[in-house]
Amino acid sequence: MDSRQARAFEGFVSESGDALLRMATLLTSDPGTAEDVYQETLQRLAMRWSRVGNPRAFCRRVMHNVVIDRARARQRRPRELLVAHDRSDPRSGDPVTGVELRPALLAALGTLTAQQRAIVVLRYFEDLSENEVADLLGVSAGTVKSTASRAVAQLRVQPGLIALFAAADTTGTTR
Amino acid sequence: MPGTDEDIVRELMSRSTDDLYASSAVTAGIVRRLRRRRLRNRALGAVVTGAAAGTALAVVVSAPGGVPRPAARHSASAAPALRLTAAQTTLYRLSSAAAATAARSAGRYVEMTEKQDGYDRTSIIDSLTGDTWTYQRGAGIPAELPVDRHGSPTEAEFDAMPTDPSALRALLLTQSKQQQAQAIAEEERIMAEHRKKAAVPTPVNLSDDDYVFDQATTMLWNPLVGPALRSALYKVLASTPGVQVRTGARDGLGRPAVEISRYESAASVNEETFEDLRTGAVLETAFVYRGDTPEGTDLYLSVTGHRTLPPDPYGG
Repeated sequence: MDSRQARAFEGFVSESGDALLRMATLLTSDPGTAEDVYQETLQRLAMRWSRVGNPRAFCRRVMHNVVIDRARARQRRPRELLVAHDRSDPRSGDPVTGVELRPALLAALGTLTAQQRAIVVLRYFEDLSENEVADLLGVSAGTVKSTASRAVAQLRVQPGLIALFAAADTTGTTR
Repeated sequence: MPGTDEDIVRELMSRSTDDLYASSAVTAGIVRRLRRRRLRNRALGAVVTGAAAGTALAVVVSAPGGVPRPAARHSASAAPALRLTAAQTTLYRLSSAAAATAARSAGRYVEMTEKQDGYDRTSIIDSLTGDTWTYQRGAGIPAELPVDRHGSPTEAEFDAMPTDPSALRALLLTQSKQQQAQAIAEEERIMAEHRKKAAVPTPVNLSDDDYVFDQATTMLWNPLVGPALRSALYKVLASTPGVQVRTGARDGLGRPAVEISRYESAASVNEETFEDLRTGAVLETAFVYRGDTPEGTDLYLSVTGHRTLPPDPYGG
């Protein structure tokens, strides 16, 4: 990596680092693991910088691979007990902050498979189209659509989020 | 709150993470590692002449014979008398080995081959001018980099540097801070040119000892450094707090080595360098971030002198 490339890399990291860490947090459903995944992703990007045309797309793909690899490795170890944070409706009472929402959302995301999480995050956090998600993950657009639908339905009934979805229903909005 | 389930998921993911920011230590650590490698690849292009007055720590050796005694003319009376630790003793052995090693490779052009993160790299340095030619072999990387004019200090410039450990430490500190300031200023200028919202990674807050360790180990990598300066650099490391030494180690190619490392808390990185105890030559540098994931290694393979400029070794 020459000095011009290094400066370009530094510019990308300073511009996209926060967004990548947020994506890693959602993909892993664990802030601690997310930091490791984020760091590993940037390391891989740095080592291949000169041949990467679209760094953001590269990071999405690498991050997904890292998360899948870690999920597989974890499956080979004794399963950890997943603790769901059953909170009351975070929208009731005082205005809620992202910090208060996060445990409930991450616990809910933790009930999904790594592939389901990837599809939900890429589709609704990164705002990629079904075709773009399909290309990135190497699956069909139909699989993306059906997986996303099932995953959202599963999130909808998670203890920490059920009140949020129910409140949307009672206000008469269309799903 | 939006209406559809998908919109709710979208909103939840956004709101629950919008207070998360990438650790400046992680970001700066990665950037810093790149910057450091870049500096080393350029083989320390910026040369500062003349040692600035510094905060050098003098070590008064009270060890058995065979270990060189550093010059004590700098603040010796004010320095505490220290008994050498095992780590310092090993570093002084490296210093002796470096001093006793035959002078640099004969020939004006010095060819250095390395393996960096899985690709091959050869640098050819003109010892008289510092011009540096770089060739690489590996998938997807440029086969040849532009010639870097005066990319390295010349042999004569290295030879002019002080070999007294206190004076050398002061020089290393001045050099390192100047290079850091120049690199940051350059990044800020480029960011300002190309982006409306310049967001240069926060520079890590390094201590003087961090700077000295970085600069000394970076300089050791340069094949134009002569035996006297190389020997003095190990003495500087011996007087730098926080330096860890492990004997009986092996580098990434399995070569017997002494491992010298130092944890840089500001960047959460453990910088490790592996040296040949027989010659004081550098074998490998590795960067290990917090946790245990090795993140990048540079393996030093060979140094050869040539009378004329050798061609691209990879046939490009």
